[in-house]
Amino acid sequence: MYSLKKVLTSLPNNYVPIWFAYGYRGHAVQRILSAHKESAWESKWSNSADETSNSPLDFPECVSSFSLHKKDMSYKMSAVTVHSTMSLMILDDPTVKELVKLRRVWPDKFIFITCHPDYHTLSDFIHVKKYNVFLYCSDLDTLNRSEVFNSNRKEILSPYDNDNVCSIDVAKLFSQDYETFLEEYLMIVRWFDFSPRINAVRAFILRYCEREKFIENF
Amino acid sequence: MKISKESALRKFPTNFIPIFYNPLYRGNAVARILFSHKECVWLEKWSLSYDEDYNQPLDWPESVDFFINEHSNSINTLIMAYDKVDTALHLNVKDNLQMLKNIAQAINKIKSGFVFIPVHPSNEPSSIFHICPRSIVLWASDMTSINQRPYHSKPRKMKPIEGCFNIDVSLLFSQDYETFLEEYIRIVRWLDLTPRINAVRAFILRYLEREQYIVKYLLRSGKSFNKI
Repeated sequence: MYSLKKVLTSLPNNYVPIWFAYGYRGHAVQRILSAHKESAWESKWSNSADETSNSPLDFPECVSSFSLHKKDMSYKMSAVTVHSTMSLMILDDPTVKELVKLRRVWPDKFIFITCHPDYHTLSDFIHVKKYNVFLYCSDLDTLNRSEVFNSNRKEILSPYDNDNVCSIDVAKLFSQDYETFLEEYLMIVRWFDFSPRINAVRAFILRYCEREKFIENF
Repeated sequence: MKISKESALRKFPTNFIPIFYNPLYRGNAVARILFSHKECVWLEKWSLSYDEDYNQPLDWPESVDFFINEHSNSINTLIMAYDKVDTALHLNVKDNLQMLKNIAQAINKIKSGFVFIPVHPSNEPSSIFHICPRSIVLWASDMTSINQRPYHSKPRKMKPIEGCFNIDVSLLFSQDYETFLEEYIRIVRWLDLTPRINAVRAFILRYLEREQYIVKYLLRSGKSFNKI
């Protein structure tokens, strides 16, 4: 296993960690951020058994969910999660080698990688990278979509106040209200200077939330 | 040169399927949904998008907020373009020669794979529905579901036609997922399409949200329009 700090230090500044607590829709945010032409995405990161669903915003069609990460993940949980394979969660040899290799493949694009932080030491990691994404939720009720996400959930209610951190309120980004979503999404677009994809991102969010609701009532 | 809808329909090969619908029945959206399956043929130029990056049938334009259509060149009707999803294929023989050319080119070039051509039946005789071996008819079991936009002109009632494949747009464009799913799977089975439940549903949810957004905007501003 490698040290997270050392790995982050070794990667160039176009690598952007997404710091988020369990249940905060971090993988969905990663897919949204990666869907812009200024970002890197490879179909193998999609974690999908469906070879026709290659864009980060494509749900698999021939199966009902993305591939399972954990053997102990329930059917309901796997149906609502959108995990990719681009993550800093397990720093084993293949992951680190892949991350390092990508430096040459995508030198000019943002590469978003997910990570669950230890919030006591997060400040030690934030300054390592030029850009960071931090997820918080101003309304925790919006995260109550399945019993699997409701237990032991951390309360991250406020943004991380630092110039090199784009703090995203997932309550707003995943809001059912279009204008609330739009305001938060355009904040992200401006922060990264993305070419906006309002419709594609919104369509993904609407379907993602509908799938969650469907599974919750299943 | 005047070409009748009937004579044009008689030239359709068997892989060309007309979609008969009255205005406001979401006919172009249905065409885009059908075209998005791998068993169908779609040319990017049919997308009528200003945006070169996103030209698949279910892609919305992103650099401009609407597709190219007859309303997008006038400031007064620009708002109306927001909830329209026209494609470059429509058997609207009276008004648009370019559309006819597009259809003629498609007939000459595309020999396999489904192609869907939206058609307004208008005042044509009922025999028009049975010219092609397979025809789709759009109807609405709940007229309020397609009658929310504040236009002066309202959708004309349309009934299912025997011998045609009738799609209930109230069900297909339902806010309720399972209602949508039932109607969508019925379509998939009829044409033996490989289903794309998530992609189609995401398109419909965004389409409905855009429609509601413009309804709210128009109602808030006290505006309504005569022409669609």
